[in-house]
Amino acid sequence: MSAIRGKYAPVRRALGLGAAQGGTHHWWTAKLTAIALIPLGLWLVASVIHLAALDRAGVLEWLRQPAHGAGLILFLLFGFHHSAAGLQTIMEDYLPTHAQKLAGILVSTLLHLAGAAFGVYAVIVAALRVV
Amino acid sequence: MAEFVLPKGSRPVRGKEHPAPEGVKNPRRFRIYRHDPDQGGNPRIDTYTIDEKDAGPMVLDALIHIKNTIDPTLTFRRSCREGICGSCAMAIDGTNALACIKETKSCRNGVVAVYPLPHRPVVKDLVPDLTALYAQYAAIQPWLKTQTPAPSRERKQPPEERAKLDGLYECILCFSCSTSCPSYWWNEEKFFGPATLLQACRWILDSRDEAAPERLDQLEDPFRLYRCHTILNCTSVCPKGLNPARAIAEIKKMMVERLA
Repeated sequence: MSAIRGKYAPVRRALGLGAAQGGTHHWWTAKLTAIALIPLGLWLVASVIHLAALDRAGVLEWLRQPAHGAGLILFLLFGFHHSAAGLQTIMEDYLPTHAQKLAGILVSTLLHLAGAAFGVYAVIVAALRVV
Repeated sequence: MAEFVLPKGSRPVRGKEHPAPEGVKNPRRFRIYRHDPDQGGNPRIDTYTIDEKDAGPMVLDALIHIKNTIDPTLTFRRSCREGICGSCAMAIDGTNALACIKETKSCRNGVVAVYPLPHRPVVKDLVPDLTALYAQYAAIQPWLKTQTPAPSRERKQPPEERAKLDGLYECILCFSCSTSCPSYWWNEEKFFGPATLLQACRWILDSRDEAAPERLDQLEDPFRLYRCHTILNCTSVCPKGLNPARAIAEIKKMMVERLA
């Protein structure tokens, strides 16, 4: 909970500890990644439909195309970034205590970083592996 | 913090029933929230049935009629009775509105529910405690701030610059918007809420004001500004037809403009 509570005068409570001098970057990157995910998401859906007809070697061949591998990595990076930003906002909104918010954001950030790292690693390894 | 059920002591219970007077021709029922924290106990919902023709057309007319003829203890704020003072903002028929310009016949339900503005401490009956909202309004320093010395006469403003304040200056600070905003309910200690942010926008856009950078710095915060998730309750309830969500979006655009 805020350090500014209870016995303080109303304006003192409204001012709290002041503005964090941050927030725009978080909001703006959430918007930019959302916009980027629209074409990337459509491309991924179309690709998955296309890949469904291929065998394993065909899929790996598809993945070796620089545009395809790069597109998949971009989708993973933007997707995980967008998801982490959104979840952070939800936790800030709904978790009741400051400690829970910090713990939740920490766990979520670590999981998202791990997911992104694992996904990018998997794409690179799959693309470079000789069948 | 998000709360989805009222605390036990705040849950309304069934209150007194005031039946219709004899020979009533156009009965209209009102379910009105009653609570006196000094008396303790849970809030109650009293029901009053009046003859529509005995009261004027607006919900405030009905409330005044009830207070004058049935129950003088019913407490509510009112002053101008023409939608300019903002005193009689309350939750009517499920939506925040000014009782003085809300027509009784426009209520969707046959029984008109009248509650105080949501998620505020109740002073008594339909009177909410707005102290925190006034304090947030004061915190944005809603007055002209300048660096250049005052001219000998007024600070001039071209008509096109003055036009930028249309849709902002008309706010009467009834706080119907802020108290209808779920984001404000959950984070009222840190989020400034639509009413205060609309006012902040009004001063940032004023061509005579010279404190825009400082004002934007004051709003550069994940909670003060960015708790607005464009739910748009603020815009749909504003009794003056203003668009606080748009004002907040304008502030966000200015934030991005100085970032990128």
